[in-house]
Amino acid sequence: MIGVIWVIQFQGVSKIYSNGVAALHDINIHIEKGEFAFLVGPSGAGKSTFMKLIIRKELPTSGQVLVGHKNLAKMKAGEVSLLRRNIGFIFQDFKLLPHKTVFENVSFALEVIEASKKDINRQVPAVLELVGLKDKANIFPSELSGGEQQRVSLARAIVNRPHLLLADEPTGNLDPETSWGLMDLLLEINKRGTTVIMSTHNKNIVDKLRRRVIALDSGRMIRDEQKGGYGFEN
Amino acid sequence: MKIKTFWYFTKEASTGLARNGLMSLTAVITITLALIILGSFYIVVTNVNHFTEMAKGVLEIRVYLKEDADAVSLQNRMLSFDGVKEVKFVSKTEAANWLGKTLGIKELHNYLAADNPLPDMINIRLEDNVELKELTARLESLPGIDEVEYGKDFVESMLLVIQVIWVIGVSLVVIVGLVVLYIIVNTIRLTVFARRKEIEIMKLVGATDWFIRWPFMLEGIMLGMGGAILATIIISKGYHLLIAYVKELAPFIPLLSEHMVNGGLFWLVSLVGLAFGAIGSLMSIKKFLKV
Ligand SMILES: Nc1ncnc2c1ncn2[C@@H]1O[C@H](COP(=O)(O)OP(=O)(O)O)[C@@H](O)[C@H]1O
Ligand SMILES: [Mg+2]
Repeated sequence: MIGVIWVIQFQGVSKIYSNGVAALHDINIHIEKGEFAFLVGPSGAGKSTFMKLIIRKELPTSGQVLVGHKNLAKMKAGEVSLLRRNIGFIFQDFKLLPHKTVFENVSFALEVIEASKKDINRQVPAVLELVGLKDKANIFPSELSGGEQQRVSLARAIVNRPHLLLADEPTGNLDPETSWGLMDLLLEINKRGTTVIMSTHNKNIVDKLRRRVIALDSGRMIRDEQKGGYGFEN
Repeated sequence: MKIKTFWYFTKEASTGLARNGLMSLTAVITITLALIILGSFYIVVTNVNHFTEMAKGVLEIRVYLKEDADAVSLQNRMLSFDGVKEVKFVSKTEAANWLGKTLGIKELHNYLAADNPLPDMINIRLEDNVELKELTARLESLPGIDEVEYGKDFVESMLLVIQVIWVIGVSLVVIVGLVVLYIIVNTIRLTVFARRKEIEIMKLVGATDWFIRWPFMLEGIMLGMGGAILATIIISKGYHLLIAYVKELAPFIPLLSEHMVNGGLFWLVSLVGLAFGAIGSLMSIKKFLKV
């Protein structure tokens, strides 16, 4: 993936799950490297499906998803691993491993891609410092607040310095103040050159930040504007 | 594979075993029992094989000659055949004498002397590794041969026994293999299930499928090998006792010594334990890699 320009393209993408649910319909979109885009829309609109197509957790039923001009459907297993090493992912429910410490949860992401001990010992403390959890490296997730847990999850997502960060409703379980703390981090990461795509229900955040807004409703793209607002009634 | 990675795999596999301690123990015991059946059968087979080989060694072939046969040149040609150890010519007069002695009629040869109906014959002692069918066919094709006689019934029933043993052996490997597979699949599935969240995260951060598979495969192999080692120990101890027992009660039964079977026994059960352990693990994890 080295040298690839991280452009994300959806070309006429539709997704129908095996149970017959049509989650996305004829989506055409282009996201440049370094952008910050909000993905908005009511529950069930297809936001998570959109993200899963980018990390190739799902394949489109028709149309093509391209990352760096490469058709994801044509990737071999090894290429998918490489793709994912360049994409960070955070979730509404954090997906932390409860029996691992904060440090271990983050280093896990490097260990399983066989990073060297040297890299692990350099990158993990640095990223914990960035998310403000340096002092809590050796405690377990259950001892952290929701906001802190999400920051661990973020640290894990960016520890390998990905080109792209996908955040699927990352503030869904956080109170407003904590949410803004996380947003500051995401904006900082974006400023350093990482493309960020974030799905959210948080009208307040979307309206205040005025970034690109891609709106989905029942699997259709109903709006795509630069410096947009949330637009839906909450 | 990096050394560090290897240690990581081993550590993960051991953790998996320890986490399901009781289940792992049950699995090893069941696998041991299944492999004991297989291993015991192996002991039977090697002994039967050994016995037939020995039996061949004491076998004799009797070749009855026609009236006009050239006994001397026939003996020379027979000696050149593979599997022939010694040849001995028995004239019809000698045969009549022997028969007379055996029947207790001293004067039999006198009665027969005028018109002895017995044929001349050549007795052949065989090498241990003789191919009986091949050799008799060659003997029958020689000139001046009337009939070739050997312990045909014995040899044929032995061959049948060996065939039956093969069928049972192959079936046993399959059945025991399936049992081991079933146990491993179910044991490893527990570990996989307990760690499905980790597997999901590994997949998402870009770990390769083989990196994810290895610890589970090692765990399966450890279970299979644990069973194999226990089975080998138990069978060879049991066989040791059997040998002592047979020596006492029926010393004429020629059992192979332990050191002649232990090596093959260990290889057989280890191979089955290892192969099916690995395959079973791969089957358990397959579904969870589709993330
Ligand atoms: N794995 C799946 N199998 C079947 N249907 C699914 C699956 N994932 C999502 N869906 C369905 O697809 C639609 C879109 O879901 P999703 O992409 O999760 O929407 P959102 O993230 O916007 O809430 C929903 O109707 C949901 O029930
Ligand atoms: Mg969702």
